[in-house]
Order: sequence, then structure tokens, then C-alpha cells
Amino acid sequence: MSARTPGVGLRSDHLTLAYDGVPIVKDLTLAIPEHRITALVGPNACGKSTLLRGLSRLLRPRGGAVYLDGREIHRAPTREVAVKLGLLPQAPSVPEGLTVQDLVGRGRYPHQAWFRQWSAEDEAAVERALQLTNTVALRERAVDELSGGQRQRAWIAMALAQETPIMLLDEPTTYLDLAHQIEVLDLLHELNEREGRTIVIVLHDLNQAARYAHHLVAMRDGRIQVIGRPADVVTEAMVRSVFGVESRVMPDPVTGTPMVIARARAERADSVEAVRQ
Amino acid sequence: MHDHLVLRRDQRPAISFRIGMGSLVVLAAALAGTLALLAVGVGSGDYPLSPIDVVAAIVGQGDERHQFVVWTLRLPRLLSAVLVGAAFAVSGAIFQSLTRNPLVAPDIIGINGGASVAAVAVIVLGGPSALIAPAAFVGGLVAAIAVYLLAWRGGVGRMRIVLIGIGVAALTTAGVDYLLTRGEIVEVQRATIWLVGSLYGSGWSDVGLMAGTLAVLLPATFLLARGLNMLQLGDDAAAGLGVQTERTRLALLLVGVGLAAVSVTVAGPIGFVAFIAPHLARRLARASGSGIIPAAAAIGALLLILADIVARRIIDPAEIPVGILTVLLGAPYFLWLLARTSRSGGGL
Repeated sequence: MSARTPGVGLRSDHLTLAYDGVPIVKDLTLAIPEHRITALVGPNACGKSTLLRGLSRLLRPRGGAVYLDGREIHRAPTREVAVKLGLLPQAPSVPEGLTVQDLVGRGRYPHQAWFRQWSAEDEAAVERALQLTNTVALRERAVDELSGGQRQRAWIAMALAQETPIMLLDEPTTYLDLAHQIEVLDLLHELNEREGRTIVIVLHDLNQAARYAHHLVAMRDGRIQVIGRPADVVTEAMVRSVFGVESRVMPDPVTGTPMVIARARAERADSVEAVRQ
Repeated sequence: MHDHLVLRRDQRPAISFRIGMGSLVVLAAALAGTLALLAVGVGSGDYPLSPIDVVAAIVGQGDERHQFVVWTLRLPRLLSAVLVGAAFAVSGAIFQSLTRNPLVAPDIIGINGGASVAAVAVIVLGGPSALIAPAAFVGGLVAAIAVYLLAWRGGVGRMRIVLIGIGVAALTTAGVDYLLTRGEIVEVQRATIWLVGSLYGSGWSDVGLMAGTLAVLLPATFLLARGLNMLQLGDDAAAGLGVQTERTRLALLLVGVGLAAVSVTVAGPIGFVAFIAPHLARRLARASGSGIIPAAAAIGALLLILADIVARRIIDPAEIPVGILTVLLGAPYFLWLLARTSRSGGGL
């Protein structure tokens, strides 16, 4: 997937997703901008990871639909979806002793068949993914012996080798220390810049989302609360309404993007104010 | 990638295959060992035959007694050992990958037990012997489904499947014991010998049954193997890569149960071959994933033919059932691995 990646549309239309009959995402309509990084943010249990599972066809809609390239994603053959849309789930498991290059090679699955197990394209895609993620030196190492950041890079390399125009990542920075978080986010930024891949990422950290995403989708209780450019939508009112937190928002001294500094939970902030008065 | 052998044709239709060098070397070595043991096994026994006698008997020349020993007694038994060992090993490799747990094997989680209950029921109740194989398959499947429903759903902790499997295996043992108390003494004795796991008296019909089963289920395994590799990454990752997870898992489950159940029909619930062969293959080939399945099959064949030859000769002139020998070899390894896993917090 050299140069610019072809645009493939991904959108949901009045999408309702439920676990055991309990609706988590409610009547949600959303279009993912092509060639951009979209961040899904919101408090715990707001439905952001569930939405990602719905967008990646892992969860069948209770109502509405998801469309990939104009086609209803749950009706398309899963292999055809897998060459357009890649997914990095939150807690993938790795067999003991599996090497980085073998893991990355498994990303080629949707391009292969039992009689076409390892084409020249497969090999080239794996090499490219290893180089882009700076994991060439780790290729012979067992994934289960790597550090958290290295392991996450290996998984991203696997998703890259799938060569999909769209990549969905569910909290790829969770459990990583700050340096590794930045490493992963910089990598995604670079992939988007250089290859024009559409990236949808669930993030916990609002400041990181504001810094790295072109497009922010803030959710609460299974619905979109706020949507737009971080510079436009990240405000003190938005932080209050989405996260229930009083804050100050000021320009990030490094990037100029909005930076949120929490003060207190909304109710408590009221009481703090009351005491002061 | 230099540690794999890649066969590739770039013109259309483009074809390519890839196998790890380690797996290939182990496969070749185990096959060579199996062939050597076959040769040794045909000639040795209560009635030793020289290599020349063996060759003569195989091509239908020479002494008629030699021909009887080779064709009726030894060859079908040795070939049964090879095929049963391979089938158990592939079944074990499938279950270990499917559950992402190296402590799992069809004998450990009660699948052989389920097959045994059904088979013993047919024997003890005087059913036709043609019914034993299908009954064993159904029994194994019921046990597998029980374990699946109790432990697999929702991807719970990986030790859970071992514990529940051991529970199901205990239940099947109780079922077998109950049936044995009910049966006629002659049938019970026959069932008891069979239950320990023995290749004694294996005939060409057994070889045919095993060969037919493998002829269907090995290609099926080959077709499902890549999906199995993806399932090892977790259901979400596999689904994201375009695997139909539920369907693939069900197909693999049926293949794994089929291989184990038919083997149980032929040789009884021989323990630990299914468990150890994939381990040895992974260790020796320094590889993981379904690429080791051919090597595991060859190692399973090698192990069982070796165990059978030893079991036949060890307390000459009598013989012990091969199932006792495999348990003697396998159980300590299992316990060691279990202890190691428990120490590391069950994280394997």
C-alpha cells in the first residue's frame, strides 16, 4: 500500500448495538472521514469500544446498519471486509513462542488461500510493515517476551500487513507507559500522513485525542455528545457535559491543540464553589 | 523469510506453499524413525524373522507361517500403531491450539472418556461391533460439547477448561465403571483390556478404518489449519482478519473429536500420546501454530509404534497393554508441566 491509499467509506446509520439485550450504542449515525484520524472518546461504559466493535462487524446491530464502501458490512463476506478494514482489538492473545515476523505474517490471512500461502506480495507487505513500525530488529523475537510497547508495535505491524485502507484500533495505548503511548500515537500519525490510511482509534486520554486526531467523536450513554475538529469542540462545557468534570481548557504549549486540565468532578466542583462563596 | 521453505509459482494460477524448516526437519526425522521401527517391528517378536524372511513374506513368498506372522499378526498391528499415533497427535494439536492451552488433549479433557463410555456400552450390551465406532464418535462429541458449554464460552481462564475437562473425564470413568459392573464377565474382560488401550489383535479392518478416517480428516485439518492459526490470536483478532470464528471452531472441534474417537475405537483410550506429540513437535521444531501438525503426526506415529514394540517385548514372553506404557511415560511430563504452569500463575 504505497503512496496514497484509496478512500473507502465507513459509516453507521441509526446503529443500535446491545449486549445481552441491553442497548449500549443507541441510534447512532456517524460517517468516518476518509484519510483522517478519528478518535472516539468518552467516559467508561459510554459505548466507544462497543461502537468500534460494531463498525468492525464484530457485533451484529440490534438496529440500523454499518456501511463499508456503500455495502452493509454484516452482509458482506467477512474475507472481503478484511481486505478493506483492519482491526486491532483490545486484548489479543499470542501463542507462546510466536515470533514477530510470524505474527505480522498472519495479517496476510485475508489475502491468502490454502494454495496461495505465501506470495511475493505477502512477503513484501510483511517487510514494509516491519519497517514502518521499526520492528525489523525484533523479527526473530518471541512476541510474548517483548516489552509492552514493542509488543503493541508488533500488533500494529500485523494490522498494517493486512493492508487495509481503514484501520480500527481499540485503546492501543492502554497499559503502556507514557513513552510507549507517544511512540504508538506518533506511529499512527505517521501512517496516516504517509499512506493516507483512515484511522479510527478509541482513546482514554482526551489530551492525546485532541493532539493526534483530526476528528473527535465524544460519546456519553451510547450517543454522540459532541463531534468535530478538536480545536472547535474541546471546550470546558464539552468536558463537563461528556465527562462530568470541571476543567480549564487552554492551548497545548507544544502543539497548540486544546489541552484539558481537570479541576474536580462536576458535582464536587459545585460544592467547592459553594464553600468558597 | 529464511527459516521457512517457500514453494512458489508466480504465473497464474499463482500457487505458493510455506512450511517452517524446523517442522520439516522434525517431520523427516520422525518419518524416518517410524519407518525404521516398522522394519524392526515386523522382524522381532516371539517368533523372530530375518530381514530376508520378512521381505519374502511381504511379497508372498517363502514359509507360510512367516506369511501368517507378517501379514496377519504384525503388519496390521504396526500399521494400526502408526495411524492411531498420528491421529491422536493431530487431535491433540488441534485441541491445544483451539483452547490455547498446552495442557489440553482429548484424553485429558474427557473426550476419550466419552468415546469409551459409548464404546463400552455397545460392547457390554452386546451391540454389533460395527456400531462401536459411530457410538464412540457420538460419545466423544457429547463430552466435547459438555466441556465446551461449561468452560469455553466467553473465553474464560485457560486453566478452567483443564479443570472442567478433568471433571468430565472423571464422570466418564464413573460411567464406564458402572457399565462394567452390569456386563457379562466375558464381555467385561474384553472391554477391560480394550479400556487400558491395546493394539493386541489389531487387524486389517482396523487399519482400513483408521486409514479411511485419516484420508478424510487430515485434508480437512490442512484446510482448516490457517483458520486455526488465526483463532490463536483471539476471536476478535481472528474475526477482524476475516475468519468465520464460530464455524471454523466447530469444524475443528468435529475433526478433533473424530480423530480421537476413531482412534479410541481401534486401540482404546491410549493416554498421553495426543498430549505429548504436539509438545515434542513444538519444542524440536522451535515453532508454534498449525505448521507443526505434520511433524506432530509423525512424532505421534513414532511414539506409539515405539511404545507398542517395547510393550510387546518388555516382559517377554508376556506383553503389557501399550496404554500402560504411554501413561507411565506421559503422566510425569504432564504433572511437571502442570506444576510449572501453576507456579507461573497459570499464564502459559
